[in-house]
Amino acid sequence: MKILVIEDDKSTSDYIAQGLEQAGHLVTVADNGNDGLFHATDGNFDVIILDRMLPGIDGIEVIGSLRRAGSSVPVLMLTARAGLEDRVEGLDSGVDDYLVKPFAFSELNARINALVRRHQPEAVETTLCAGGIELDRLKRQVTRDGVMVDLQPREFTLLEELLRNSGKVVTRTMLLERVWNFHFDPKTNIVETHISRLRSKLNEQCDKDAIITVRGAGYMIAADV
Amino acid sequence: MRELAWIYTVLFMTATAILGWAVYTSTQKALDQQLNSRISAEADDLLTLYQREGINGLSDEIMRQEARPDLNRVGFILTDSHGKRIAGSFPATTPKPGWSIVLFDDEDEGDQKDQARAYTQVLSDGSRLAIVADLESAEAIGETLLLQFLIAFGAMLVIGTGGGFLLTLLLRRRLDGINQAASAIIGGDLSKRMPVDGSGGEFDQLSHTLNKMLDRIATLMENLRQVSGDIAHDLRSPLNRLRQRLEGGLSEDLDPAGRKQAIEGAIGQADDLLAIFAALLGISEIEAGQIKSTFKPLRLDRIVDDICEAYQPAAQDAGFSLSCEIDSDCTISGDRHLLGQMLTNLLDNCLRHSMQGSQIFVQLLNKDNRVELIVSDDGPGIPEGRRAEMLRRFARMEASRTTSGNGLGLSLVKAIADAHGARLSLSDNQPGLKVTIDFKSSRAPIRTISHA
Repeated sequence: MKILVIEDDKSTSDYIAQGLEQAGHLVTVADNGNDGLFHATDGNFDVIILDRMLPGIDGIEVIGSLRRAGSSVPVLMLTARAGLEDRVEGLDSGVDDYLVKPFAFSELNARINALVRRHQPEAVETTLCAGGIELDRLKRQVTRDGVMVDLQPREFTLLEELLRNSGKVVTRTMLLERVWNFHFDPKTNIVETHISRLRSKLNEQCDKDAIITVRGAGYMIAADV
Repeated sequence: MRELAWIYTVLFMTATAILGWAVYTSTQKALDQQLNSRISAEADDLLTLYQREGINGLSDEIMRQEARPDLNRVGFILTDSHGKRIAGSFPATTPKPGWSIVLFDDEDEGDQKDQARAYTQVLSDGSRLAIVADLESAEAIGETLLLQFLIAFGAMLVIGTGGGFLLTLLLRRRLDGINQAASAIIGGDLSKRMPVDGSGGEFDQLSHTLNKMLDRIATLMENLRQVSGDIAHDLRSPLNRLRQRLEGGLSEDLDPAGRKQAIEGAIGQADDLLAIFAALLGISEIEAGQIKSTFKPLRLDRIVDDICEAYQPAAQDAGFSLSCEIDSDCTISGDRHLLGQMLTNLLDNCLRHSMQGSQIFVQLLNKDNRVELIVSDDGPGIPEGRRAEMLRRFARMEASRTTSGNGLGLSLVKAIADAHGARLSLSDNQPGLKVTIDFKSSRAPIRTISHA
């Protein structure tokens, strides 16, 4: 993927660029808002990582200009500000996801992947499939290899999120936000406990583990090859 | 200050002057009226007499009246149609008919001519009767009145100015007291307080209020000192461990896998430290109190329900029984994010500190105009003497010094409760800890849902 990183702090941009390049992406870095906006409108990027606080024009203005110019490139905003209204302001201004510093690279990686996938043209599917699992959104039913699996509403939503991002890692923080709408990280690992419940229900009739735990990153359901 | 006193004095004096003038003129008018009535009455009486008894009877009556030793009596002039005096000894020429002012020689006054008011009638036989009244007494009253007013005015000027200055002096002294105390505080003596004299007056109240403000500042500063001290103290150990892990990673005896493990362990420690700082920042932000502006009315019952449901599996896995009893329609004004954090902190605490197999009970009660959240467990609890301390940052019970967790949980809970204007209290659950948070409700109550 072609990725643009607009970040004025060199050690952060180095950190991000290094990680992304190692993952096989092509990275361009801009260290201020004006250059960043220039690259963004000019180049053809798959995703933009934008810091909120920038010299020149700030992150919110960059995304504002970008969206007004008609660009629908997925944008992930980085910031040191964790307040809920800051998040809402960021999302309102046109950003697609919001990540608070400091973050683990695996978190950034997982979110970028999720963003790109979301932006690929897809019809709203009523059924999600992967690895033998079929989830019917309308009927609220789940089967694995044809056998019905009885899930609680929360487990259903959890599975839905994993299937939507099949083949990609979904981090614990992403699940907390999307399944529970919690924008904080409880010390008790509620995600893990729900995942293990979900897992045991899905694995009842199968010996292959439906859900893969990626250490240090999150969870994943393998996509159909 | 001085301008104020001057303005006040000027206003007051202007008012007095206007009032004085009003009183003076109305008094004069009244006296005039009185005089005129006397003259009129006398004139009427004499006219009646004349009509009854003729000119001679009138003349006799006049002589009779003048014989009386009445200093305040009116004067008479009775002349015939040619102007020759018939009766009456008033020393003036006959005035024209009707009302007029007459000048005459009053023996007492020397050369100056005096004034008198006269009413002159022409009688049916052509003679003229004039009733005259000396304006002297009226004038005297008028003069006395004027003098009194001038004296009063002068007195007022003196008293007003004097009083104004005195007031300024007193105020200045009071303010100086406050200024001095303030300077001492600015200079660094935080223990100084504003002077209070127990009178309950406005300045006293001001002093009291300022003192309360100073108390608060002193508390905040003490807090700050304590937190800085706590932070330095309590973060040393994790940082030390981090260093040790990294140092261990340098060891020659390690193979790449071992090295990787050491680094991963160090990263884990660093993450823990970052989490501590994030929590500290969170607590500071909340305590800084800008939060209230973002508060919205929300359904606390839904938030509590979501969290209870989210914690069920984790509680079960840890061998706990988590039961929740939630009244419906509990609306309060607040921040969803913070309230969620508060409850999860409490539940995290329960799960961490209690022994296995314990009960955790979450209750959300909808009372008259309050909403009460109660989280109780049957774990070790906190002894009464230690409760206040446990709400401070980094506070830990000895038994839990080695368990995971950073001791910030309860202080975050307290900060969030305070930011919501809710009252937090810790009590003995007999056994265990019972945490009660009392919110002001935003709406009226309806009743219960519960699940376990």
